[in-house]
Amino acid sequence: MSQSTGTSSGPPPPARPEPALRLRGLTRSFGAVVAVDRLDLDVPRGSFYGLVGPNGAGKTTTLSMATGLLRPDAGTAEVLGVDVWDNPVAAKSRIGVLPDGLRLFDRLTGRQLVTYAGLLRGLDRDLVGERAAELLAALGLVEAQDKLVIDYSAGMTKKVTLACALVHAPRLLVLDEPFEAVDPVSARTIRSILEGFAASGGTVVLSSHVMDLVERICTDVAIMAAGRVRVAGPLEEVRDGRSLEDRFLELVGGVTAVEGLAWLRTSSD
Amino acid sequence: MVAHLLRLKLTLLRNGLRRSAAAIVGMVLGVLYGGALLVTALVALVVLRFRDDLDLTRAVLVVGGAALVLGWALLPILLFGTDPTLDPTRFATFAVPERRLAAGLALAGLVGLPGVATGLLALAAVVSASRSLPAVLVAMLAAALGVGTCVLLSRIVTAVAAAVLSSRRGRDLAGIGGLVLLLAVGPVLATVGTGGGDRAGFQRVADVLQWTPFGWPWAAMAEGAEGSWSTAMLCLVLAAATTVVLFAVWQRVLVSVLRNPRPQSGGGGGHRQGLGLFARLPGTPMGAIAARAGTYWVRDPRLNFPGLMTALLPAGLLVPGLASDSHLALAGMPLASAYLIGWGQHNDVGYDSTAFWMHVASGVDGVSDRLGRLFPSGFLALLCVPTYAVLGPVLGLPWRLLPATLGVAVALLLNGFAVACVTSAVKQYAVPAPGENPFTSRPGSVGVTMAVQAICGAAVFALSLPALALGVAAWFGVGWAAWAALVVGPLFGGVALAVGVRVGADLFRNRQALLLQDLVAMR
Repeated sequence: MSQSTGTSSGPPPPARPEPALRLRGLTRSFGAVVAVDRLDLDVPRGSFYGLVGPNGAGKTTTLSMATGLLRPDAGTAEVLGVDVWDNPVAAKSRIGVLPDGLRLFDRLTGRQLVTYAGLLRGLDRDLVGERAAELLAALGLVEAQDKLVIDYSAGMTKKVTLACALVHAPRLLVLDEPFEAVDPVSARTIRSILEGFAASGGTVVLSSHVMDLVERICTDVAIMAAGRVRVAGPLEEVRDGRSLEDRFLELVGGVTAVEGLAWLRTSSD
Repeated sequence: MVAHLLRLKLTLLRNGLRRSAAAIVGMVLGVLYGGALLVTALVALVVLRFRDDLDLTRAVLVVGGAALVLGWALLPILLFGTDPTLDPTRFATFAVPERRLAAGLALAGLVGLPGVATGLLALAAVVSASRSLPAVLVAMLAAALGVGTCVLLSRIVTAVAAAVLSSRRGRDLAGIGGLVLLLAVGPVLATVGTGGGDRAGFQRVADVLQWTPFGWPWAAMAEGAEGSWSTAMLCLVLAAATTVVLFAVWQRVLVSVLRNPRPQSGGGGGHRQGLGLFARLPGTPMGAIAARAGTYWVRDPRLNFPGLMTALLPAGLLVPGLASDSHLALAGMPLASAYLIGWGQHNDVGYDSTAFWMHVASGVDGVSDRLGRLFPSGFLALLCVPTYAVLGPVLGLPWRLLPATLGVAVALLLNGFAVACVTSAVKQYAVPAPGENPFTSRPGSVGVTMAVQAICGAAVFALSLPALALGVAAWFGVGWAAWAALVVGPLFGGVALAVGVRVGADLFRNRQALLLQDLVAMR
């Protein structure tokens, strides 16, 4: 069971009654494999929340169910008090999503793609135009804005997806592996944008398996393994005096000592 | 290596079937669908053996065999696609000797339903030619060469077509090539339609085909059965030479693909200024979806090539229409055009692939999604259907039939759209992923594809029955029926489309996450 969720690890700020994201009993299996198993999680408003876990822990499945991309077998997901699956339109208008491993309409140019995302959300075209220009400038994509997204590098693709996720000014950002395959310069850009977003009252949830990064930028963190939350709460509490990586390995299981593979050592020739 | 590739192909086929029950159902339907035809052909070939009509045997073997080879060469481009296990670019990173890879990929092309069917047909052909022991030996050699020609030709054609289509200029050329091909197919159909009906015409066609690369292997069988050994040997040698040349060409094509893997880009790369269609269409979700769909029709070879073919295909009816003055062909042009365009939309969400998540995540409403997607094909229909409808009377169709053809065409178009609105929210079949060779199909998915296509076609036809009935009445001279069709067609079609959009929108709202899940599973 999850030892401590947001509720048990200290009361949320009193002025903010409901959390930005509240997951209760979320369950999803694929065939015989249970990917997410009765998962509970509260993400407080204004937090910069890191979701960490080993490969296959169910991070992507959890975030997909929280954003309306994947229907859970059981359980509920609420965004700022609105149920994602009962009232999807209202809930989705508050969420910005950056999924991992899904395609984009990559035969559009960067500017067209961001415009498309904005118009799909029902924004006025002039407003979309302004915001798209600002976002592309802030993310350093102005020079590439008239190139097809398919010709973008991995980092540029992440950035343009982030622009799509931000264009309708969401109040909750859900980012699946936002820093994967991103160079340090772009990572810094993305990070500063996200920090600005959180500082102005927005909430960011991101998944990652880079512990250092989560430790540096997140205020709260949840460690997942095998479809469950093992521990969750403010970073300092979760860390419990150690580094996040040590705590993570302690909870998730030790490292296997590498044996064999002698043939890989070219010096043995 | 050859064994490895064959096993890979079989494994992929099995796993493709294991992934979904729908694939199995589809495959069963596919077997039933094609199986009946196949059994008829097999029985006919065996029966031929026991008749003493050697001339007929020869004509059947040569014409049928040539048709089989042509089918292997053209059907992948026009209808089904080849399967991506055989996409040579996927092997670019492996250090496999090119000759063995070429042989393995060609043989792997035989694994699957078309390969099994072709193998059976070739065996039956051997039976029909088995008049003596030497004849059997010649026939078996010839059958192997014939099947080899089929597979190699289809590999070469698809690889070259994919390479050609990946560049912008290539696509323009392909468009012109397609037009020329259609204009060439027309006369052949016309000849077959008029002259092929009688026995003498059929023999004449066989006489010509016998001396083309398509006919050599089959002619060798037939000549062997007749006992004219010198001709048989000549055909056999020519067929063997063809196979060797085709293999050499295939290997050459393969090498060039392996050494210059196709760029991922949609061709050209380069800059495009401004927002394009996004600036011209209304700034609403529906307008945005229409703009996106329109942009894709221009930029994506998976959409623009079929779109072009859809636009041009009905023109093929011009040939019988003009050559043999067939009014039916002229009246059929707008109907074929409208049907192809409307029905062609039924798998539109499948072409989005997993990029569909943007629609799901944005909570866009179903009506916008449904109607927006119809924009490019609606635009195409607006150009093509009236053009073809007016072209008929201009070229000799009685003008009194114009309201009827127009009315029925509009009915077919709108009903096609109506069916598409519903089906593209229910079940999508796998199509080539963006950037993939547009002529690929998923192993084990052809059955589902055909089942969905057949159901959609039947639904469109059923919905259009009232207008069609009036159209038939008008054809047979009932004066008022033509005008009635012009009223009934658009009216019923409009109602069907309204209902289709409403139902499709509801389905879209409830099923969008499931659809996305389907699309993820198809990757």
